[in-house]
Amino acid sequence: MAFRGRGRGRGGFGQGSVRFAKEEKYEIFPEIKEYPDVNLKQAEEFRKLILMESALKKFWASSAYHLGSSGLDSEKYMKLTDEYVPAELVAKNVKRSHKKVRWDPQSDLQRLDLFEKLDQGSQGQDDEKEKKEDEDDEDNENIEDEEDESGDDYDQNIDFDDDEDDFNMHDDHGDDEGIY
Amino acid sequence: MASPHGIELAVHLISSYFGETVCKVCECLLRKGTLSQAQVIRFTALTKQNVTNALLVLIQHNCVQAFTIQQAGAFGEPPKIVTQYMALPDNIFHHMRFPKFLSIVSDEFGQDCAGIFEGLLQHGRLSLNQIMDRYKDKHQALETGGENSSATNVLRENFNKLAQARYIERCPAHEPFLEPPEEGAKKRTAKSKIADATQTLEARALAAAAPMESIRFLVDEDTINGSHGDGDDDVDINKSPTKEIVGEKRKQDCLEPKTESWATNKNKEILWRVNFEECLRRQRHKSCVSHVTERVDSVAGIVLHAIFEASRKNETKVKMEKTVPLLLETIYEEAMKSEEGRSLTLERVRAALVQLGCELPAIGIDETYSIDLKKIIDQAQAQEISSTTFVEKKDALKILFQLWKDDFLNLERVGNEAQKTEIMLWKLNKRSVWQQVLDDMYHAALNLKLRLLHELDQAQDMLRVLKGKSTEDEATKERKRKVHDKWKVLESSFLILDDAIMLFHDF
Repeated sequence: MAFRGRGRGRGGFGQGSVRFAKEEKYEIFPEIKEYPDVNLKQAEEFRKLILMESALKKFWASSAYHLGSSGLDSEKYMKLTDEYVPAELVAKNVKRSHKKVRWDPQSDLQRLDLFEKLDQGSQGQDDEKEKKEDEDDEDNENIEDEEDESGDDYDQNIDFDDDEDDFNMHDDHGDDEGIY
Repeated sequence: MASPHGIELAVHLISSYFGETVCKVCECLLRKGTLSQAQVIRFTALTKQNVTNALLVLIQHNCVQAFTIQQAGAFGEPPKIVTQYMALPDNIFHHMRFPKFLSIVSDEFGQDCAGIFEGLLQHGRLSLNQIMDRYKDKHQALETGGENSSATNVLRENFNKLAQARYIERCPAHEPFLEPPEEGAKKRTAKSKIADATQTLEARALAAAAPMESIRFLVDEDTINGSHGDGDDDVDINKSPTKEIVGEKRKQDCLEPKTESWATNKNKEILWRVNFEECLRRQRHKSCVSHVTERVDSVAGIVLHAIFEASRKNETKVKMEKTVPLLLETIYEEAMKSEEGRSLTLERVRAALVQLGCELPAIGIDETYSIDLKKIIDQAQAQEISSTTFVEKKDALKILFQLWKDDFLNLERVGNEAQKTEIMLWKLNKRSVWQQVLDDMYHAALNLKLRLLHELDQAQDMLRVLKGKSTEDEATKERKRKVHDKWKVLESSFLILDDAIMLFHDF
């Protein structure tokens, strides 16, 4: 009994959909029938501007700024040291590796020197400076590290797993500031 | 950015100028607000290398500003310094008007200055040495020793001209550090604090990055001579504070200035970029003059133009409401300088000033005049969107209610005791209408751009088909001409629409 009713309803709906809905093709760029005329006085000025725009577009398309193209000319006009761009963007070719960081005695000595100098500074500024020096030093260490990794997107910190760590024994990924 | 179509237009512009990768990163910053590099990597699912390169390109072209803040560390960890990146949508929009800016400079200073300006538009930011290198690359014929130095002098002169006219400015600091907010802020509720904190954070970043007004347009002589840092320069960086921009100075205060990493500061060159503010100001003047010329007459236009010329140095911000007060004589002298203004008499100038809305002072000794620019701009804006139509009375009420529902009108009900009727007073909610209009204009601009692309694709297909044929018959020529005309009309429409966008957003 229930089926009968339902079947009828469905049938009715099926017939209705053919009657009420008509699919129209969606035209993204319909043909424009009438094009307005360009005011003659402005036409000359516009022509110049349009040409300049094309020139600019061409320049950018073929420059190093257009990532993906092979234009190398503009790269020499980009200042890529940390005096002109944020420090974290500078070490371009360096990837943080999962492997242990190679112990570099030189950088340790540098660090000791810096700590000495920092000790002479005021108390409040110490932490901040330390943090900044840490970042700089980490960059230096990484430049010495030759291994290049294709890198996880979530890769942020150096894995300082020098010791056997019971909790993170099987942890293969770089830590995402996850401290439990 | 509040305008949804504005964001789409900005995204389209970046994608067409700098490619998909840069576009994805930019879109992420525009839609999600200020982010750190790690967050951008997470949201865009691009590799770190790609994100880095994209950010570098965006910073180079002044579309993104970086700054550093101190973030509380996780439990037990000390606070850390994080670099944040904010998108600058206004500067992105300026990219589509570069030809207009370039033509202003070229009209005023000629082809040589325009060449320097063009370089800055193409590369976003350059040092003076880079500008010279670029010039040498382009004009390799002048490689001989003697001519080279005179060309250098001419270049330096033109550079100075541009800086004095304020068309170019020093770049802002690349990574200013923002001090953490004070303790007193904690008293507000958490939600308002977050909202307030982020809003002022971006504003603070821009303010911290901007060079001081006193050095913003200052061309330092040392920039030209010893910047390659061969150890030759006698100038100690600490003795010439003008070489540093505010953000840099603050950074130096944080760290030991004498450590190894800062010794390289001697080599630091000052980067220059186009001053969009000044370009907008000139566009605004142009727009006011043309509006006045249309509404009143050409003499009024000439007088207004003269006022703008005479007061150029004294205008402080772009959206000035009144012109700087000027003596009548000054205005007259300036008007005489132009060809059209030469035949004017003092009386005619005075009459034009009255037409522009000034009141003649009673005592005619020290006549200073100042034009209400805000009124002119408002009139121009109203003219853009108004169209009077006659509507049936019953429809009028329906339409009014509809507009009220869409938040375009404010309604105030005034009860009238005696007649027991209610009078409804309607007022235009200007702000929301203006926002909607601006959004619609961005939408229209985007559509125009997309249509242009479509037409270009079709034209290229057609050319490919025609390449095979050896001779061009009339029908083909006709088709080519039609395509060219279509292209012209679409581009011209875009230029006119852009004027309207500037009128509503920047003026």
